[in-house]
Amino acid sequence: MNVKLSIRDLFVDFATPLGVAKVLNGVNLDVYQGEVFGVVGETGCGKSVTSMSILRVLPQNAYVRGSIVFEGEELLEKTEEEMREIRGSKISMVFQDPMTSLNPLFKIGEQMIDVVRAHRSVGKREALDMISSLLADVRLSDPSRIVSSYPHELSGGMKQRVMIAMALSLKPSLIIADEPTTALDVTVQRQVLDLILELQEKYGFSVLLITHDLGVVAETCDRVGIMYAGDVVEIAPIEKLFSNPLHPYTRALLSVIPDISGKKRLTPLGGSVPSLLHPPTGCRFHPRCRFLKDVCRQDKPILLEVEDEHFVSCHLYGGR
Amino acid sequence: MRFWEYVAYRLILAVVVVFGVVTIVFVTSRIVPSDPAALWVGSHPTVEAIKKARIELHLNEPLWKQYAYYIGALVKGDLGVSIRTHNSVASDLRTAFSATFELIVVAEAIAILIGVPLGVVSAVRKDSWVDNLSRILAVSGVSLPAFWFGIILQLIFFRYLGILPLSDRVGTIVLLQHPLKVLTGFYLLDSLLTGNFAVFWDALKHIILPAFTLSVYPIGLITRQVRSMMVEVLQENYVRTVRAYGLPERQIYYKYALKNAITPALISVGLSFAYTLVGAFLVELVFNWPGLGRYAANAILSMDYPAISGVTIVVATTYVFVNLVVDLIQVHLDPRIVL
Amino acid sequence: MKVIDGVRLVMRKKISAVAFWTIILLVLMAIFAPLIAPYPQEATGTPNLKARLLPPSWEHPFGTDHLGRDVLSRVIYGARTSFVVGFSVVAIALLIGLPLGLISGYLGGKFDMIIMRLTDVFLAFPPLLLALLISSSIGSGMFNAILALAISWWPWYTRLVRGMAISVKQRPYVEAASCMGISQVKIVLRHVLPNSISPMIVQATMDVGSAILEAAALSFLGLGVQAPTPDWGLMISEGKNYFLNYWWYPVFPGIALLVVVVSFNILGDAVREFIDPRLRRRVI
Repeated sequence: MNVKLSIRDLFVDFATPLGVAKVLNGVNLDVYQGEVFGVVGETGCGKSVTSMSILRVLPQNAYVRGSIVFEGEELLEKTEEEMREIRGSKISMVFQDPMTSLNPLFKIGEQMIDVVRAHRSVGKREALDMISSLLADVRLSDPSRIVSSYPHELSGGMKQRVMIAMALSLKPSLIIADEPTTALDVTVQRQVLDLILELQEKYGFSVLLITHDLGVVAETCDRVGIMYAGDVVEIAPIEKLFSNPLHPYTRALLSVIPDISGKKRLTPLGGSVPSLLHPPTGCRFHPRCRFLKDVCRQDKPILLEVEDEHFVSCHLYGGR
Repeated sequence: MRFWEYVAYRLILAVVVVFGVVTIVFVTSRIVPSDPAALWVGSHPTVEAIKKARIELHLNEPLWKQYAYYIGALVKGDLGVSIRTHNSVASDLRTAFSATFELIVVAEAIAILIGVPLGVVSAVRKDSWVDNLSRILAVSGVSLPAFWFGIILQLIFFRYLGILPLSDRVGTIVLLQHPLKVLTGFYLLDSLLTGNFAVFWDALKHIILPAFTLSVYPIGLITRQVRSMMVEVLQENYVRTVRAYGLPERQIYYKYALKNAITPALISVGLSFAYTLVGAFLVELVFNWPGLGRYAANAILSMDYPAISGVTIVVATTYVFVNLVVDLIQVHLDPRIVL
Repeated sequence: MKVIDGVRLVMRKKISAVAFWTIILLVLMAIFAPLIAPYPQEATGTPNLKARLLPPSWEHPFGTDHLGRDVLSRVIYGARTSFVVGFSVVAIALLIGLPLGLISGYLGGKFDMIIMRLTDVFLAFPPLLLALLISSSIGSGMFNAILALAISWWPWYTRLVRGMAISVKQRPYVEAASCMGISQVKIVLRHVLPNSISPMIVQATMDVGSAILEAAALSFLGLGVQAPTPDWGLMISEGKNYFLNYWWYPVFPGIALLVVVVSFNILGDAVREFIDPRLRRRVI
């Protein structure tokens, strides 16, 4: 298995007027070559912060420590200029909200051309050709019209396709898709997801797909990582996750998916998402866990491989 | 409606407003406590002369008729005759206008050239020492009494350093030695166009201090506006996108972010124009600059109501139309605004 | 939003706290001028021709003017003039503008249209110009200057309040109140007014500083306060004739003016920052 991206012990703190928010509490995950890796969790669990840490586009009040190795190189040690070269060309990102991700005062073509020319010394003509073929790739008919349109003239779905085309423009080896379909209509969601998978097969890049929707994960991902309050609590191949969820949180998540027979009772998870300013000690899930033991309050469990490619971070499975 | 229809609509509105302005000016000129006829005649007014003046100035007729005469004259471009100089106010203003205009243009240019980059840098390096320094400067600029600051600059550069002249537009000696052919009324432009570098250099030296004094307020305004808008824009998702795609910093800030932030900055340029216009009055007094301000100040001192009214109308009208232009540019620049 | 919240928030940031105390200090200085100024009689006009145009010294920290009067005392007394004028202008403009704006915004219709056109015309004048015009017709002096400035100021407040009144008018609780048959007047006073007031407070605070500046400009031009009343603008104007050799004369009054106006502006900024981006502060 060729490891494209390897995150180890990633801690991210934010300095806020109200105190230090410890958003990421030691994130560990790998993304393999050519796979679609899903990151699932509730709002606020740190999924987006993880992805922004990879590209190092966090706001000024963020403090990062740990390791992020991409294609054998440590990203956290790179200079700003080196990162700039990577952004958009080796690793690119598709954001959640296509409505606000494009500058409303510039034509689509101009923004895309600038992205291309920021990384390749090509003329505007050439860049335009590259872009037009990409727009065709993302199934946008009439690329020349799109290129000379302003963002507000396109629909949400079309804009997201434009974002995907932009993400592809420099043939990156990793695309981070941060909730790419959350802001779209259900029918459009389907199309965009299919598109991503199609392109992935065609171009062979890895995908880090961030979402809160287990349904999306089930349909598109090869492996999944579950995040809770800044921790990665479980990582597994997709079938194993659904057939044999190990972490109590994962189990709770899966149990609230309604059964089509309508017979299963939905048991909600008690408690609420912890404050990141004053997070719980030890395992951050412990206040809500049915299987709580003393050790859970004191020690944060380590992510261990319990069976083949199935990792859990929980004292139930020997998390020391 | 389309853009040009909107322009027409705004133009008509502007004319209506100017009408209102003229009316107010007329009203204030008629509530004058002293007798305009007596003032008109000047020193040693005889009863005869006053009577004659009253007829000439239509002062015996009912108010609404006077108003009608006034409007009628205005439409023909007649702003009355100055009590002080006894020239037509319109011709007095014509010569003064270009002097003031040159001053204002240079001042606004300085303000934009300094204010915009300062605002951008301030926003990009928010809360750093650069930011704090520029914020202090900006607040000071907006609070500074221009007439006082001009004096300070004169003290420093003329009195103690001796490198810049005290007042006027151009040195009389230089002008005598190298007579200037006046084309546009703007000395800097005219001297360049006619290759008269001696005058150009001298005029430049003369305009620096008053223009800089005048620019301090708009610098403050523009810096604050640009900074505040840039700070907001920099938090927007579309800036996050271009940053995540590795665009060079300069392009992110000066092309992408600035364009979104510039519209309110434009508004503040328009706003600052108003202050600059009136500030010019005060600065011209300090630097003895032969423009509208000095003319108005002299008019005020000698209670020359036609002149005061004339200046007011010209200035207010200019203000109305500058604001109109700023508005229209703003509408034009933003492709989202649907008329 | 109460005044006490505003004060508390102003204290949070060092610089606005400094500005706040500076203003309090200066106001106190103005009130107790006769006790603080070293030469109170000179300040109010008694010349001392033996001590003309003396440079700053221990006896006269700011020097003396062309009539031998102590500049420091005159600057201290000048604070009185400035504050009286500044606060009066804003108060009168509020008195006129607030009710007009409230009624205009709340009632709408023809009345609103007329008021709006009126404010359009008044606002067509660049800030100082209208005051200049009015001053030159009705004459100079402190009272006239206040009047002239207030007349050129009220349209801003009308516009501001009207905007707030319109948005408040559309809120559900106002509709509910009128459905319950509560009289219009009561609605305006009880609901619309209190909610429209906060932006006014911000504006008014900053405006006192601007009013002081404009009043000084008027006196500089000879239209405002007249000699021998001590006024900063007037002193700068007089000092202008002597400054080449007696620099202290116009410099110190100007510094005082600058300090006052900057303080008001900083204060206004701080208050505005509180009211506005409350709605959009993003922490992470």
